Amino acid sequence: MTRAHRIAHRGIFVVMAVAIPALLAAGIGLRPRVPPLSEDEALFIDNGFAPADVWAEVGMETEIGIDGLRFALATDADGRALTIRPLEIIARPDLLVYWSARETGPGDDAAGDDVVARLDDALLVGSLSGRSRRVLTLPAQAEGGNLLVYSLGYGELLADLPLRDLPPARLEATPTQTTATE
Amino acid sequence: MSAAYKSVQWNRQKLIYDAVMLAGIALYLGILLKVTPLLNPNTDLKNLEIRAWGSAAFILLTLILSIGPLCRLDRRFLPLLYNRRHLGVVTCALAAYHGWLVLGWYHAFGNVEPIVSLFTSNTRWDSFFAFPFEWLGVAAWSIMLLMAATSHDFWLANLTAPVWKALHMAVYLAYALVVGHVVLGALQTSTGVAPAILVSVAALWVIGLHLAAGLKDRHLDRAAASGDDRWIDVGAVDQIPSNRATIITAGGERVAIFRYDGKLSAVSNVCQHQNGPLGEGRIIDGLITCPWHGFQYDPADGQSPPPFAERIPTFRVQVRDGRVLLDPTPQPAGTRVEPARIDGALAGGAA
Repeated sequence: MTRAHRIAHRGIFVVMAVAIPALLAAGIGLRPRVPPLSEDEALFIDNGFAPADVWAEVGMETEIGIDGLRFALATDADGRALTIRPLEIIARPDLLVYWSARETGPGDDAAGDDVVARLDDALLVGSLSGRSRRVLTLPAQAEGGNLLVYSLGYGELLADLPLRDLPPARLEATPTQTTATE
Repeated sequence: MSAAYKSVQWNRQKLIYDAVMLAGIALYLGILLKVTPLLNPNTDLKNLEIRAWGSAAFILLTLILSIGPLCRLDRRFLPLLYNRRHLGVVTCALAAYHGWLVLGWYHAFGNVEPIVSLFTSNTRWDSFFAFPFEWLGVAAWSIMLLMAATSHDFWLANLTAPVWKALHMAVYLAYALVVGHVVLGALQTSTGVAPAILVSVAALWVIGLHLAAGLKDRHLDRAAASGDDRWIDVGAVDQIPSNRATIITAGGERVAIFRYDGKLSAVSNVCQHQNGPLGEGRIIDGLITCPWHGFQYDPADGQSPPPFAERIPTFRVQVRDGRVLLDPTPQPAGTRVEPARIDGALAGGAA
């Protein structure tokens, strides 16, 4: 480097030696420890959903196959916090999970039902991402009902899962087992 | 330094250099993307992919900025510097893919164009922790793109080395912007301690290295600055190793005085290619050879051997009573200056 470049280089790094540590200290040391509540949190609570912290104890997972998709499910002791984990990547965009009080059995033709009508009385309880385990807080009145997996991008109902037909693991922790309801 | 245009002058060293670089990147991405979900099944895979590519770019940029000062502090790092520009271009590409993933995941499903969403979804300029950090990343990437686009020797030759070097010093600003992008972005939503520590260590490492190298340069500049006499005593002949040089500062610029074949010649210390330190090179086949990329110059006239056309300024030098004296007035680039004979001068007292 020429002398002018060397002088500029030293000046730049003297400034950076002050600014970057200050940025690191403020940005990391003072970052909020608790993420701020979503603006939607109060809306969900108003609609009968329990706060997210009620699920303290989650039962062991039960593997479920439905409509060609496989999930691992588990609930907390009172059955209001349901964890769901896709066992394989679902190649559909924008996967949303709804809970519907209207029950359909494994033999019912979900695809034949009008998707819009099926979702009309359903409550959005969460979304899916890859194979990540997500915690869904079910409504207080959720006794049975169905869990719907819906692709918002394709407007396609992918799975219509009857919760009442789940093995007892839904209410009490039991060892992992596989149930095919396709 | 080429007689005919070649887009990239590949050779064995460059191929090995690039192969090691690409293998390292593939290994990093592979481990992060495949092993992390096994260790933590709750991992958000898309977010992991976005951060894997972004962190790869950050690590590579940290490595790039470490190479220069490491070479100033220890010559054994010089081989890393040889193909550094390819590292820069790949860093720009990694960052671009990181941005592409962000656009496709966070901004593609709204009712506005993803690129519009990127710049308009967060306008909390008055907030520190919710600052629109995306802008910092885009600004850093824009600088990297400019540097990648002008990294070829075509631009080096047309912009001239000083202008090109000044332009590429913007990488320091880019690094500061990247650190801000990470600290105000990923580290605000990731409460883990390890990422915060890694980012902090990387940033402080780069700053520390550059300060150390800068202080060393300043010490050399001050130590060599001595008086305004026409002839400067720059030390004893014996202090200059054979086929090597000593570097002094005269008139504000560095001069490399080479000893070879019983003679002394002085030239500018700045290589015409990328401003590399010629005085840290050596004489190979009778020619000064830059330690960075192997550009060569005749020590007597500062000209590259035909058919190459690079030229550097030369300086008059003489030997008196075993001491080396230098005229700090630079001769025009490519001007032949008769080398000072060492043997005769030591015997007769002057050359």
